[in-house]
This record gives sequence, C-alpha cells and structure tokens, in this order.
Amino acid sequence: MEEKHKIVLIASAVLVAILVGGYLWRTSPTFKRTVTFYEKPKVIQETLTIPDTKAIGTVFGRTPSTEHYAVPLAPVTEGDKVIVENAILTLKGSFETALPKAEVWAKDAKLVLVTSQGAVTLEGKSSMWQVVFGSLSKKKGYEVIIQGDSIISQKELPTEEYGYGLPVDWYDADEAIRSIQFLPQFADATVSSINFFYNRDGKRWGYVLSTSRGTTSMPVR
Amino acid sequence: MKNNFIFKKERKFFCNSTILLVVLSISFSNIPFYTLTKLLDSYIATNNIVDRAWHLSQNENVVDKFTSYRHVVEKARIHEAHAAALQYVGAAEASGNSAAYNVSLASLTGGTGGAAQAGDLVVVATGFVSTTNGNPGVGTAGYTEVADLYQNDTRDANLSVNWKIMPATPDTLVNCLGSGSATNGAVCEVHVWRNVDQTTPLDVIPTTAQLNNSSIPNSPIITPVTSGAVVVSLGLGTGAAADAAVTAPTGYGNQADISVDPGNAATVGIASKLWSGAGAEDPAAWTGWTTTTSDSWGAVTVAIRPRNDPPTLTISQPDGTGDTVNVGDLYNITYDLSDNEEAVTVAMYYDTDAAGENGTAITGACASAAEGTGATCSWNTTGVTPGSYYVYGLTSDGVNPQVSDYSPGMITIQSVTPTLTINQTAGSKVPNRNSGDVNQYTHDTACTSAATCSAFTLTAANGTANVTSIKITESGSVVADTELSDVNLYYDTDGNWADAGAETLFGTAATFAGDQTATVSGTLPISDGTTAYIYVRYDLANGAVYPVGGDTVNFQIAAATDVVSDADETGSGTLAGTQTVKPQIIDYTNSTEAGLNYAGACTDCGARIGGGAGFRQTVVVSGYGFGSDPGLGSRDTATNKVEVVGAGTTVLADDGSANTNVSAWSNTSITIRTDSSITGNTDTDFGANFGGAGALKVTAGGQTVPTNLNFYIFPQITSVTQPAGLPADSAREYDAGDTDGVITLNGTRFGSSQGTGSVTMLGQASSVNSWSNTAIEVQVPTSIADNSYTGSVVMTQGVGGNDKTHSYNTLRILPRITSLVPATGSISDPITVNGNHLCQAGVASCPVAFDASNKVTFTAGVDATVFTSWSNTAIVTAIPAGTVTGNVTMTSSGYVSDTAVFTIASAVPSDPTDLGQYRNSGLTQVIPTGGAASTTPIYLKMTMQAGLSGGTLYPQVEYKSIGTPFVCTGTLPCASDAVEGTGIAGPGPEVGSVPISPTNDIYHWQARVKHNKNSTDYYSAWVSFVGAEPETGTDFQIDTVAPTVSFVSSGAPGTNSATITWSTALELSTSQVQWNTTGSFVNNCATNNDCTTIADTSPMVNVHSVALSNLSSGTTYYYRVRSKDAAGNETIDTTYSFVTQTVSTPAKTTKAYIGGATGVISGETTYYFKVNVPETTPNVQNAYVEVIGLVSGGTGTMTIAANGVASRAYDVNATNPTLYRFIYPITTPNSESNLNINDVDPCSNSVAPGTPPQCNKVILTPSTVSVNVLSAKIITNYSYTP
Repeated sequence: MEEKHKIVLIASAVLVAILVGGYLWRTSPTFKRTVTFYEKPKVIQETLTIPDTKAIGTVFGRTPSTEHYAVPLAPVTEGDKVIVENAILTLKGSFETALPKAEVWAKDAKLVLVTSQGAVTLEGKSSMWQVVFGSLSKKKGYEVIIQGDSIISQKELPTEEYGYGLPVDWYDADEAIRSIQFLPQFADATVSSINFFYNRDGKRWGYVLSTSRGTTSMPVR
Repeated sequence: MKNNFIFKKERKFFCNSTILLVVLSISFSNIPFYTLTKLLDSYIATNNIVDRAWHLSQNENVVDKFTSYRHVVEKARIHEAHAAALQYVGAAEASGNSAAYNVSLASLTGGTGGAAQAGDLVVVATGFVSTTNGNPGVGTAGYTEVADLYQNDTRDANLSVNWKIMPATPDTLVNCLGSGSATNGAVCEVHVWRNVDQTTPLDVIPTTAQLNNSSIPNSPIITPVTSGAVVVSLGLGTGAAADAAVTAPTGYGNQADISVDPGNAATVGIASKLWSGAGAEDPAAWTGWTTTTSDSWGAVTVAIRPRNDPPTLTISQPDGTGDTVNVGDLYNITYDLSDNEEAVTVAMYYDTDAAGENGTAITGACASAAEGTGATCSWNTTGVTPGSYYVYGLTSDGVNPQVSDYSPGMITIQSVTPTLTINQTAGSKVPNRNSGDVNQYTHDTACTSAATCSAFTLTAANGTANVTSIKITESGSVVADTELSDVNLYYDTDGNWADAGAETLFGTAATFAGDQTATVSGTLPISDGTTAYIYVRYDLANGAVYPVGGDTVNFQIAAATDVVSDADETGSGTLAGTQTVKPQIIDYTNSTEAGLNYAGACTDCGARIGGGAGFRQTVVVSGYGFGSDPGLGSRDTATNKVEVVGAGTTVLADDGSANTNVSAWSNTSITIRTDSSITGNTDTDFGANFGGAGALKVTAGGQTVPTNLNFYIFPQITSVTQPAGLPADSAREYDAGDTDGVITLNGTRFGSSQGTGSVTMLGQASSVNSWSNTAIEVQVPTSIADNSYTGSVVMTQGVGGNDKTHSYNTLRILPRITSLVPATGSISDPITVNGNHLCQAGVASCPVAFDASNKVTFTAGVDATVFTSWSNTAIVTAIPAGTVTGNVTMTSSGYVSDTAVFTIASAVPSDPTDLGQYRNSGLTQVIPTGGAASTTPIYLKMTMQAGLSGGTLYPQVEYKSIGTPFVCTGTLPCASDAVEGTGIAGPGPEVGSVPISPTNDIYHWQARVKHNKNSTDYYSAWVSFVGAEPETGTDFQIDTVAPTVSFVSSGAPGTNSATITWSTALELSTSQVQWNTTGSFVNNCATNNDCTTIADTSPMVNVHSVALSNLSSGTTYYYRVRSKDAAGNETIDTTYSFVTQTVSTPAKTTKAYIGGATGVISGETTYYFKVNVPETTPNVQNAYVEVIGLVSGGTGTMTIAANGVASRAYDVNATNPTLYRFIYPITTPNSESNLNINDVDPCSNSVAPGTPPQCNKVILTPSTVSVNVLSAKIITNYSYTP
C-alpha cells in the first residue's frame, strides 16, 4: 500500500472515531449536566407596541394573543428558563398600578380585563400590560398601558363592558401558571400570553393562557 | 435410815399417785361403762326384757361412743322404755271339790314372780268333773267369763275361762267355784300377764273346743291380729285318777297345771306361746293325760294383746356445753326417738325456758325429724333472734298422749357484725374509650361473667352490709376533675352485665374533685354471702374540656374506707387492664367548598357530596382529644398526624413552612389542606389517592381515632384547554376532521383511566378521546340542542375514583356552519347558512338585522347586506356583490363561527364523464372498447352536469375512422362534425346519449357537453372515449356483412364419427354444425337441440373443423355449418349429408348359471359346467365367474379357481352372516385351457368331450369361514363374425 493511501485510511478512521465519540458525548447525561452547568437562562428583549385598541367587545379578553414569545412552562435546564427584560409587574400588580388612574378617570371604574402585551414569565410577570376599566356612569372604557412598572398610555375607549367586581383575595397570574405547569400534559408546553377576563357566561373572573397546547382557561378562586 | 425414810415417802407418793392415776384412768375409761353395761344386761336378761334394738346397738359397739355417765343413764332409760312387751308374771293354782276355793295371787311362780300388780291381766281357767252340766266359774268380782264349756260323758267336763285387769288395788286371790260334789274334783289355774293392753286385753275372741271319750284337751285354732300377742292354751280333762305329769302342746311354755282326784279326777293346764306375728296358731293337744272313754275334755284358746306404748323421745343436744352459734349457722339437734308400734316423727321447738312447751317451731328438717337413736336434725338459725334457748320436741303415735322432751341444756345463738370485702373482678377494662363520648362504661357491655366484666366487687359476710357511699379514685394520666364527669355506679349480683335489666344505678351521679376522686352516695344492701359487682360509667368530657388522646383512665377503690357501710370493710380494688383515651373526629367543614362538608349518611354519596375536598381546599376537622398543638413541623409524625386513607395512604405533610398542609392543631380542631406543593402532597402526588368511606384518620397522642370519617378526594377541573384561537371557555360541536370540537379538561383525580367515568357538556354525554388522572380530552357532543349555548362541563371520576363529579362553569358552544345552500351560486342569489348555535345571545335573542357583532362575512371581508332571517340553525341572506370563491363565516354576539367554502357559480358545464358505447338505445348492450356492432345505429353515452341550474344540457360527439383526426376542438360549436343528442334540463348530473349510424369501418370518438343557458351555448371541453391515442386506437367497429362459407366437407366418416370442415377465408368467425338424421333444420338451435356448441369464439378462425361422435354406423346424417363474425353477423350454409361406415364383427354377452353350485360348503368344492354359444367363430373377449354366497364364521378367505386359471383368494370378514358377491375373472379366456367353449376337445379336465363331467370346472375353497353358496354364474363376452 502506498504511503499516501495509508495516511488517508488513518485520517478516515480518526474522523469516524471523532464523530462516534461526539455523538455519544452529546447524548450522554454527563454532557447534559455539563451543558446545564454552563447554560444560562435566555434573556428576551422584546419590541413592545402599544396596542391600537378601538373598542372593547364582550369577547375581547377571552382570546389571548399567540404572538408573544413562548416561555417553557416547565423548564428542565437553566437554558430552558427565560428572563424577560423589564418584566417587573405581575398581572395583579399591573392592575393595582392602573387602578388609581382609573379611579381618577371615573369613580365607578371597575376592571374589565387585563391582557399581557409581551412575554409572560413563570412568575406571572410581563413587560407590558393592558388594563382596561369600564365606567357605567360614563358608558366608556378606559385603557391603561403599563410598561415595566410605569404607565405609558391612558385613553378612553368605546366599550360594551363596564367592569365587574373582583373576588376577594383573587390569586395572581403566577398561581394560575402554577396550577397547570405541574400537570403532565403541560410538561413540555409553553405559554405566550395571559389574560384576566370576566366570563359573563359563568359570572366569574377567569384567567386564560395562550399555551402551545391551546387556549387554557381557568376560574379564579 | 433417813434416806430410807425419804425414799419411802417418795415411794408412797409415787404409789399413791399411780393408784390415783389408775383409778382416774379406769374412771374415765370405758371400763366402768362396760361394767355397768354388763350389769344392766344382766338385769335385762333376768327380767326378760325384749330389747333387740339394744343388743343390736351393743353389737355395733355403741358403748364405745359413750362419753359420760349421763349416757349410761340414757341407756338405762332406753332399756326401760323398751321393756313394754307382754311379760309373764307367773302362775298359781288350787283344787277343791264341792265348795268354792281360792287361789292366791301373792306369790306367783314361773314368771317374773311376785304378786299380781295393778294393770296385770289375770287369766283363770277353772272347772270340775261332774255328771251333770255344772256351773264352773270365778266367784271373785270383776272377772269376765269368755268360755263356759260342758262335755257330757261318764265323767263330764265343766270348764270356765275368765279374765280380769287388776285394779289399782290388785286382788290378792281368785275365788273359784266348786263342783258341788265331794267326789268330783275341782281345779283352778291362774296365769298372770303384765303389759297387757288395758282396754282390749284379749286380741281376738277366744276359741273353744270340747270332746268326750277322751280326757286330753286340744285347744282350737286362733288367729291373733296384734304383733306381740301371746297365744294361751287352756284345757280341762276328766279322769279316773289325777294326772300329775301332763305336758303342754309342743312349743308352748309357761306351763302351769293342777289335778285333783276326790273320786272323779279333774285336771286343768295353761301354757303360752309368743305368736309368730302372722297367720293362725293352732295349739296341738296336750299330752301326758290318762284317758279313758269315760272321760271328756274342754279347751279354750285365747290371745293376749300386748300393751301399746307411747313413743319415747329424748333430746340430748343442746346440753349447754359448746352450744353457741351465730345467727344463720346450722346446728344439729341430737335426739332419740322410737316407738314400738308406729312410725313417728318429732317436731322441734326452741323455747326460752324448759317448761310449758310454748316455744317457736323450728322449720326445715327439724320440723319433722325421723326416729333414731342419737339421731340429728339440722337447724338453720337464720332469722332467729339472738338469745339462749332450750330445744324441745313433740311427738305422738296417734294412740297415746303426746310425748315431749326438753333438751338438757340451752343453745346460745348470737348475732354477728357483717363484713364487706372490697376487690375487683378479673375482667379487664375496655382498652379504649373515645374522647368526648358520654355514658361510657369501663367494661365491655357485652360481657357476661365476672371473668370478663370489669367491675369492683363488694362481698358481704356475716350478715347484710348496707353500703351508703363509694369513692372512686382515678389514677390514670387523664385529668379527671377537668376532663371527666358524670360518674355513675351500677351494680348487680351476678357479674353479668349483658343480661338485660339486672343492673341497678347506685345513688346519684358524682363528679371528680381535685384529688381525682368521685364519691357516689346511695343505698346498696348486700345480703350475707352476696357479692355486689360495681360498674363505673362516666363521661369523657367535662363541659367543653375533653381528655387527650393517649391519656389513660384507671379507676380504683383505693382504700377500704372509700366504701362506707354498716359492715366492716376490708380490701381495695383496682379495675384490671388499661383504658386509653382515643381521639375522635366528629365533623369537618370544607372552608373552600361548603358543599363538601362532612356528610355521614348521604344517599349513595355520589356526585359532589359525601364530604371531602377538591383541589387545594381547606378543611377544618373538629373532634375531641387531638391534644395540644405538636407544633409547626411536627404535625405529621407517627404520634400526631392526619391521614387520608384510600387506594393509598397520604399523610398530610407539615413541612414546617407557612405552606404546610396542617395549618392549625388544637384539642378539638385541626385545619388541613388537601394539596400543596409539598413533596408527596402535590396535586399530582396526592391525586392517586381518592379517599373514600372512612378515609379521614387522625392520630393523636399515638392513638388513632376509633372511626374514620368519610372523606372523598374529589376531582377538580382546574382549567380547560381548547384549540388556539378560540375564546376562553368555548368550543364548537365536534366535527370529524376539525379540531374546534375537542377540548381538554385539566385537573386532578379524574381517575387513572375512564372506566365508568364520563363527561357531559350541557347535559349531553361526550365522547372521550383520552383519559388520565389529570387530563381528559373529549369531544363536544353533537347532541347538544342547537338552542343551548352555555352550560357546565361535568366529569365523573373513572378508574380508582369514587364516582365523584366536578362541574366546570361555564362552557360556551360557539356557532358552527354546517353547510351553505347553495354552496355555489351567483351574486345576488339567495343563500342559506346552515349551522348550529347561531344565536349566541340566546334563543330568544336571534338577531333581526346585521350589525358589527352579528353578521355573515364572505371572502375578502364582504359582509352580507340582505337580511332575510336568522335562527339558531340557519341564516338566510343573499350573496353580496364582490363575493369571490372562498370562506364564509358568521358572527353572533361577537363570537365568530368556523368557515365554510362558497363558490361563485359558472354556466360552463362540466366535462362529460362516464362515457360509453352501446348497441341499443336502452344502453344495456355494451360495445366493448374495440368491439364491433353488426347493426346501426349505435349509441354513445355520457354524463352531463352544469354549475348553474336551469338551461338544457346536450350531449355532443364526434367520431372518425381510424386514421382520421378529430376536427372539433375547444369551445367552438363545430357544427360540421359534432353530432348532438337530445337535450336534457340542467343542471344535472344527467345521462345523455347520441345515436350514430356509421358505415362499416373502424372508429374512434370524443364527446362534450353543451349547456344552453339563457339562449347562450356554453361548452365543456372535448373528452376522448379512450384517452390514449384517441385517433389511432379503435373504439368500435361497424360490420354488417356475414362471413362467406366455402369448402364444406364431412371427410371420411367412421362407423360412429365424422369430422365436418369448412372455410371462411375472408373473415374470422366462429364454428358450429347443426346435424341430424332427417335433414330438416330450423335456425334456432334450441328448438331441436341439434347444434354443436359454438366453438372458436376467441380467437375466431378462418378454417373450421367440428367433430361429430357417437353416431350410428351405417346411417345417413344431414348437417349444415354455421359461422358468426365479431359483429354478430352469421352465415348458415346449405345442408349436406354423409353415411357412417357399417360394423362387421358384432359382440354378445352370455350368462349361464353353473348347475349345482348351491348349498353350504366348508371346504374345497368343485363344480363343472359347460359354455355353449351358437356362433361358429366366437372370439371370447373376457369371461367371469360370479359367485354369490352368504359368508359367516368370522375372518377368512374364499379362494376361487377355474380351469387352468390361477386361483384367487378373496378376504372376507363376516362375524355375522354377510352376503358376498365374488367376481372371478378368467384370464386369457380365448384359450381352451382356461375356458372351453361348446365342450370341445381338448377338455380341460382331461375327459372326452361329451362325457361327464363337463369340460369346465370352478373350485371354491373357503378358509376358516363357511359359505352358503346361493348361485354361481359364468359370464362370457365374445365377438363373432356374422
């Protein structure tokens, strides 16, 4: 055999060994532990847009957006976790931030809905919230947009809803997320938005999450 | 000397002492009693005392039992009492003659002696000899004469018998009367008896007898009636001289007699005998009498009745010594009681003095004590007033006056102080009692004896003890004064609690004091010897304070002083065993869902009732004895915990955090939560446990509750997932191929699989796609009423659950479009949107006009504007301008439906389909592709359809010979070449056909549809019948000419066959021959069935050949040939004939029976036969011997041989008679050695032909079996030349 052929043969064998070893390494628990050790949560930077809401209909809050970043509900590794920049307030926190403004707008202001306008973290936080109130006396709605922990927009809206009383000690968005994230069927699911709405059919408040499994709604206890 | 003096003095003292000891020993030994007894016995014997009892007692060594001189006295008294039998005192006699004379009674002899005493019976037999009937008798007053006999003879006998009871002053003599003649002797004999019955001294009437010619008296028979009676024989006889040596009858004693002879002698005698006690007594005649025939005699027999004695009674004990007993004791009264004549009993009394017989009767055995010496009766002194008493007895024989006797001393009956002994039974306390329970017994209320019933015992002795209070001490770990109450004591006397009604409450309830004691006061008399069993009942609660689980309860009567009574109390009691307090759950409330509060007895406990908790719900468990709070983080230990027991056991975890599942704990309340994020208690961890009946369990102080409460872990639909894009809590009715009708119920405790689980939506059952404990994927049922819009989703647990339910509110059923009618149309055409749930505002609120929230939208966002109607299932509108083909949606109250495709319609018809070519107008005779038709017209068919209704559809075809291209293309009319069929009203689909009549040739064709709509023709595209090579491939052929037949021939027919050949050289065709022997044919083969089967149909041929067979030889046959081409054109040629050849060597078959071949054969048997045929040149083709026989005898063979042919054995198996038929072939039959024809030479059996036997033979040889040959035949087939 010529020397040239020997070199080619040896090089080929080394290449095959590297490929096989790489594959085994890649699929081994050790690799996963190593990668996990070095993994860092994803940091999401969003381009936020103030929604151009023209009016609030009766079904408005019942359909969550599917356009935001899909955050894994049950992250396995550090790399699966997501950090949303400027996601400061929870849903309930956004309501509490917006409520004083709404009450200034109308003393009888009642909450109509809350929608996330950005990705939602597993702690129930989002970088932008849309909080809509209604006033029976004004026959109007009032939209408050909160980015981070600041109100960046307020405006009146036509509405078919004038708000409803809230349950005592209603649980926040993080609890809503937790109530599904441990279920096996959501083990590999993602969530991209969350709304807080009033179900007129059931005469109750509820959360609705846009998940990769579909629209998931739950009563607020 | 001095010493001697001293020793002498001492010796004297010793001697005196010894003597004293001897004297004392003798005095207090039996020696004096023996001596005294001896003397008494001597006295008794001397005095003829009859006392069997005494002697019997002596024999039994009764004397050895005497302990004092008093008994000796008693003995003497007894003997005196027993000396009451008849006593012979003695006799006296005297004699005389003429005058009366006396017999002295002062000195009687022969008996006890002495003078007659008062009460003695004096019997006098007196008389004399005479010659006349004299008057013998007694001159002393007071005598009763019982007989006065006179017997006449030479010397006449005169006898008188008299008796008298001596008065208080007894007679000293008896005056007997004389004979009145100095020569006639008179005699008088007296017998004196003591202890004679004073009233009736003679037991029966005396009997008499007399006789002459003899002097020997013979007393007659007598039958006394009283035991102890003495029979006395008295007789007098005369004589010539005195008889001094007469002898009494044999067996008689106490004989006394006297005889005198002053000239004529007279002798009288008396003798006695104790009656045997039964039967008659007949004294024999006296003997020793000198008798002559001149003499005579008289005799009398009397029976003396003994005196009847009163019973004798002596009470010997009590005698005042050692006779002290307690009230209630038994005391034996000792007495002697006897009666010589009657059976008597004595009734005992006690009296304060020994006089007057005025005491109190003693009951029991001593009220009627039987006779006996030293006998005793037992006196139960119960109820006798303490004191000292004499005992006396009263007895009577019913004849004599009542006899009584007082005891020599007094008995002292003293009262006693009762005692009361405190103890406990062996039965153990019930191991556990439940905190909070009231009226709880320390014992098992089913116990039936002291061995199992736990109780204190109070036993009274020495009289009745009256208990007035009992103090119970609690010594367990429970704090009795604050945690226990209502102490009640019950008692009975049999230690058996379970026997109903025997227990009595003692006193009134008590409470525990700070010293842990409770005193119950009441009244409880316990009679002597009786045990009272004291049971404790108490409450394990004291107001709102309850004992703690794990505490112990132990009751005691700690000291004797804890029982107060009038008796002397001793002992103490501690109830056996340990009684431990158990905690107890009594209720719970579900703070999250009140409907799940505890329900102990719900019907079926199904649905969402029965008590328990759903998802992450808080429950407050109430009860008693949970104890103090173990502390956060320690509420799930082995000692203190709350569990839910179901398919598994879940301990509600307390991780010490604020998120704990056991958030509060007190003695009466525990707050729990069913789910949390605590490991082991998470939603899904816990979800495997469904709880159930008796599932809630609490352990406190190491003690578990006695009864778990029902606690169901209810399912919970925590959320619902529907397809993305749909509003929350909504879905459409399920439609296969679409996902809008499938939702997922997320939650807990649905059950591991569906099993009997179910899901309903708005009351309708849903089909389940998949089911797990946390997720159920279901289809929205299509059975939901179209006018129902919102309602609940209800799921019922599946496998592992308890059929519990959860209802999720509220699901909205979104509108669904099921069809558009029409789905294709033109602008402004009316259109109906069919669907369900189209009025989302409710059935009564269907829109009456379109608006922004209620509308029908066509593709490109074109909303319908024409509002015609709107219902739950249909919206009628019109196709708005600007509509293009695409999706249609409708919106109701803001809820948007799914989409349906709508197509804007066109007048251009669809291309024709289902093209076909047929020979007939009915389109039933298909011309296959490339097939031919023999006639025209033929019909070309297609299916037509237009997109719009109305108008007329016309089928059009163009056909061309192969090689000629189509002319018509595109959508031009092509009037020159297109052939059009009859029009049919659109829009189809409709079947149209075009008849065409082309000339003979090969063609291909194409078709299209013309739609004449509103006087305008719209054309489809042309479609070729055969897509490939439409212009070169043959679609059909027209052929109207039949094939030409030539060269018809029958060839050279055989004797029974012929082959017909012909040619259709110019055209391929089929082959068929029609033939018969008449030459007359009709075209329809079926008429006479004289055609051969049509041959050469595929492929067809030009040269034809048909073979005929089975013809008759030498016969003329007629035939004609027939050929049909592919188009069906047939040529039937002219008729021809042929003659079959003649046959020259005919054949025959002969059969002949072989003579003699019948009957039973069991061994080789030969039959000869002859075969004759008439022909001169027979040529035997084959021959057989046929044997028919009935075979029996089992298994064997039948061998047949004929002439020179080899034999052949046939196996037979005939256990029962079986009919067999043997066919034996004769090989090479045409040889004379095998078959001789006509019996010609050489004969096979080597004899001259014509000489018997005949030339052929057959040999039958049965082996083992036997054969009954029924027949044998020779069958011969041969040919010959005619």
